[in-house]
Amino acid sequence: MLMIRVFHLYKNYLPTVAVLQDVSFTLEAGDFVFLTGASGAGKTTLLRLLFAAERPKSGQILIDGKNITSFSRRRIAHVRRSIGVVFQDFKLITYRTVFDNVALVLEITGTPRNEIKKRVWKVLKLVGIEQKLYRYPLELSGGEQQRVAIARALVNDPQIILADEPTGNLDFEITTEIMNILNNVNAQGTTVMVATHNQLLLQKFKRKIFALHNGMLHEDVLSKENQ
Amino acid sequence: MNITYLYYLLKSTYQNIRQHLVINLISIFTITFSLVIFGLYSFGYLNLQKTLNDWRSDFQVIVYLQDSISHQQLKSLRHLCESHPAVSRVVYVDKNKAMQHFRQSLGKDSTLLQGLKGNPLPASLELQLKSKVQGMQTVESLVDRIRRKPGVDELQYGQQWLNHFFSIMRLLHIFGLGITGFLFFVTIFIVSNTIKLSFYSRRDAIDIMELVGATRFYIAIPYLLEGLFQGLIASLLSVAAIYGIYYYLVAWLQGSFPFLQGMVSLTFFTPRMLAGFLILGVLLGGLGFLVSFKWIRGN
Repeated sequence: MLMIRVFHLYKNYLPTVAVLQDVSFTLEAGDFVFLTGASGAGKTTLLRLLFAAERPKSGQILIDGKNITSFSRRRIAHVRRSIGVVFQDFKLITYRTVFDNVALVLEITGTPRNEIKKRVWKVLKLVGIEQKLYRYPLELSGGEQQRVAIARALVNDPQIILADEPTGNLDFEITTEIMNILNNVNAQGTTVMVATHNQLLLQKFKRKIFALHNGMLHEDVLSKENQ
Repeated sequence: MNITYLYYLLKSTYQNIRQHLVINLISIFTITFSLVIFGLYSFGYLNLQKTLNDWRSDFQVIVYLQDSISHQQLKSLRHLCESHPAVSRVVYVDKNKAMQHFRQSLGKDSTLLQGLKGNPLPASLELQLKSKVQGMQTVESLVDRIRRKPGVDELQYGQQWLNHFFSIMRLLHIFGLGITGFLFFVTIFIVSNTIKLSFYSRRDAIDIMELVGATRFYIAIPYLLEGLFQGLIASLLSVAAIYGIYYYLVAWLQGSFPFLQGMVSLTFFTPRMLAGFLILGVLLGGLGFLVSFKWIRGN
């Protein structure tokens, strides 16, 4: 099982403004952690560093013991196949159907078509959107689009799920449904990290919490109570 | 690369084309336009060259011989002419035949020759040149070698006409190369820009593909295939357009200038030329992609 280890991570966009400062933590396989903090605290930046969409100024990110900060683009592409990412704005390809959006992850690895059909159907059923197989993203509600995005993140059986404000645009009922899906995935052994600033969510789903404040990471007080 | 992977690349290409139909049509139109211009130029060049060659086939170098030429000297001269690579045919016209031809050419006026004592006309060798002779230098080197042979009195060939002919062909070559180079440069520039535009309009989709682990190869290949597809469709369209123009031109020439029949006949491209034309179109599309690929990689 994959484990994430982050050591002394620094990141800044402007020379004088540090977004992340000396961030270190370990996520064991099967962990579920909330990453919280005010807007601009660096939650998205930390997630982007974890799936190698950006490179840190210094520090190391070890996934399965390998330091991905020095990986070539080609190796990064392969690392991403073992990480499922969910975004607040869903990031679905609007001219591809629900099926094609989810299937994309398997197509890029050359998975046979019959296998893709089975796995896409299974994962869409898991997130409860199998009836909308041939719809286009813009024909779906926000909650439905997020389910598709989660299905896409899950279809490759990733060992890590990173979700950046996955319920940010959704009402509380849908938020609960989405969180239940992520909980179920975690229950099967997948490591999950969810960035959110929604305090209600943190209180309702009692999990370990990492809080980012002024670019520094702390384990939250609530987190200890939750444990 | 396995068949499944290839299928997904083709599917992705099809989806890209269907989604960005207008951009693709602009590209296809641009390549078609360039190919039609190039094709019409080639068509004109081909036919002009053919017509000039037809006219040139009548062109001869005439070697007038001294009356005192020995049998051995004549044999050696004939051998020189017949073995020269620029010469297609050698005809020996003896003094009697020359007189006979002269009489025939005078027609009714041949009676003027009745008072003539003896035959003042020289024997000659008439040399026909091969149509593939490409320059004045070849003809002049042949003439120089003949002139130095014993028994040769005088040489006659349409030096001025040949000079004009070769000058025209040279000009056509230079003009053709210039216009073709320019057109292809413009086409590749426009195609590469439409590919950039199409890439830019799909940037979000490409970001998403990268985020889920697609390699650059997987992302770029559908663009290359799109460029090749545009080139193929454009070359088919341009061949159809040029054939249409050829068809109407032939009908118009026959209707409006019936007296030209026999003198000028238009020829369409050979199958090999057509295949080359299709390959050229596909290459233009592919080159358009390659030019934009560096930009795509940087973005």
